[in-house]
Amino acid sequence: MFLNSIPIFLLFFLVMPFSLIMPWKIIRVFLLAIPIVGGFQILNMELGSSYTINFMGLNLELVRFDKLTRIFSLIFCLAAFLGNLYAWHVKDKVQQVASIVYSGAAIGAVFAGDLVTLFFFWEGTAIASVFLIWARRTEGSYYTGMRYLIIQIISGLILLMGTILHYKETGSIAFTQFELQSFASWLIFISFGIKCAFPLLHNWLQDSYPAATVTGTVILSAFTTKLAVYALARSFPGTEILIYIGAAMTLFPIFFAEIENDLRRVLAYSLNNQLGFMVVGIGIGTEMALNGTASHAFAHILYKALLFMSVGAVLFRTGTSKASELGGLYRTMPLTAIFCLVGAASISAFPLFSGFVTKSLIMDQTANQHYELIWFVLVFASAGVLSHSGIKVPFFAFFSHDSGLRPKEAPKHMLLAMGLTSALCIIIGVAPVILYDYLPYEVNYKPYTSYHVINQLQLLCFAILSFILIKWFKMLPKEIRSINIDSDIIYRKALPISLAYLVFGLKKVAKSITEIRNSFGYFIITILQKLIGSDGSISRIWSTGNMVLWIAIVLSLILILNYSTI
Amino acid sequence: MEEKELNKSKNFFSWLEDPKKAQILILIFVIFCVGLFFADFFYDRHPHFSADKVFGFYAIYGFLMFTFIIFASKVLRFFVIRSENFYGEKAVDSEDYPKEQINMEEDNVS
Repeated sequence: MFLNSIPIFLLFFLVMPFSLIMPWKIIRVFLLAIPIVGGFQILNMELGSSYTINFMGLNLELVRFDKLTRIFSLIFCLAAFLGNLYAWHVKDKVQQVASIVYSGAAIGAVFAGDLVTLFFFWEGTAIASVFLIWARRTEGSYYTGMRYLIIQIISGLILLMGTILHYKETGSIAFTQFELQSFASWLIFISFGIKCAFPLLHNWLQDSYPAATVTGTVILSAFTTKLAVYALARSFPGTEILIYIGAAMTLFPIFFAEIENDLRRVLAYSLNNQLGFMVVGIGIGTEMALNGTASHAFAHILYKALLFMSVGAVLFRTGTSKASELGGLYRTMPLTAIFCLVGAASISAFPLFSGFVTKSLIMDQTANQHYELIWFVLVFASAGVLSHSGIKVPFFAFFSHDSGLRPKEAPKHMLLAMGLTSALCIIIGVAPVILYDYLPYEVNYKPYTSYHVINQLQLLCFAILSFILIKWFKMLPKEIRSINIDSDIIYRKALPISLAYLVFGLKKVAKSITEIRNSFGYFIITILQKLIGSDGSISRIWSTGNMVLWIAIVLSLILILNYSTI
Repeated sequence: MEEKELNKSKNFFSWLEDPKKAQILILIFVIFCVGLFFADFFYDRHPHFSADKVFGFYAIYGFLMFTFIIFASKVLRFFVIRSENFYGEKAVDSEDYPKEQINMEEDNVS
């Protein structure tokens, strides 16, 4: 087939020129067909195949296909298909094109065999995805989109800096495993960390996902962060610091999710917590742990999309996703409620649901490698997952007190998308071998042992028992219209205010400087001559590599400074 | 009218509305939990560390940790809660979702 010779991501970009002339009704058919064709293509590709082009003296490996690439590109195709099916009704061409280009860029990044290609797609995902936020077309979403875009672009620029330094040090741009030692590798690591929502670098996620459109959030939830997980798994497996970063990631979002009012933001926190499990798996770095990360990413994309779909359907039918305004929707949205419960059971890792057979690979490896404290943290975090995604989201949306709302059931195509995703969650849970066969390494693990099933049920059921008791005594955190400040207050409030003070102060200083300028004038001119005179240190000839690096640094600085105005 | 609408919306969850039936469900769940707790007698346990050798470790840990999460987040809320309007028009929290992008009326929207 001719498709064998072209990189798959190109398929996804085909829509862009067509979208100019074709009506939305035809484009949406493409949106469903392309991921299917792409998925079959990936299934038929030979492991180890590669496609390299020479671009300005650099050998760019556009396609590098191995088992790790296969599982991530497959789930990206699947997520694109399900997300686009869910968005079947969307007439907005901006969203249509953004979603398909975004998924194409994510798949392109997964196939990238070198850092330059990776950088290209890394920024591609950032630019394409922001339109899913802006498509809401409100003032709030515009600012939120800007914040999101700036952070994503900074991540890309840091990746570019890391790539340039790495190239200067080693002469290679290969996207393979790195030791976390050189400055360059740290830059690459941080760049991945921003997209992976490491603690304190995480706020873009909770800020932006609830601001996207109903369907946009479903699509956003699948790609960016899991691309970062893929990149970390490719480049930094076995890096011990990741274990502790991952453990911290599983912990803190639990508490924020518990008191958050907007259910889509609850899910964003919960997404962050799930990423933590994957990052721990990468940090442990054994073959089974990496299997755990890959399989958990696969299962997670499905059940997280399912949860976002069900809350999205509620938003689509009621106009709000705030827990304080919802409740009792099972009366008129029973199918959506069931799909939400399937997603909740999957993320909570109930036996027979997908989370159970994937998360346990990571948990098992944590114990086998004797990370005792981390293991206790992860078990604790598993109870936490149940608290917000397992109970809070379905309970406050569909059960709890009667809000008086009697919305219509979700439209048919949404139900179909949710039904298919639910079926996949259950199939993976019941027959994990199907997924295990596609993992990067051979799987030698049986999730369904009596002790594992019973222990997991004990953990979850007693946590539910605690919930029932706390509910009985009316001591649950109340659902109130509110937001919670997180570390983003630093750049959304503190930094702009201090910058304003700084500017005020600087103006004063400038005034006094003017007064003493004359006496210092001569001195300054001498220094400048030394620096940028005919043989000054700055005016020496610099290589273009250095120039690009400096441009990247300056651009990042400008971006960071601009942040204060957004 | 209200009665009619309620009848119309009866489905497989509706039996939950009867408080007695809900209580029976909870009772069954509690009995199931007790059974689970003592199930530790009957299977080959595989503890990894010293703490999870304790009888009923998972049940106790799950119960205590869940309780801790709820109360700890109430403490956290005391420090971090702000009004929806805290970030003003630069965030989506205080604005309504655009009406033209949702559809409350039609059954089939595509």
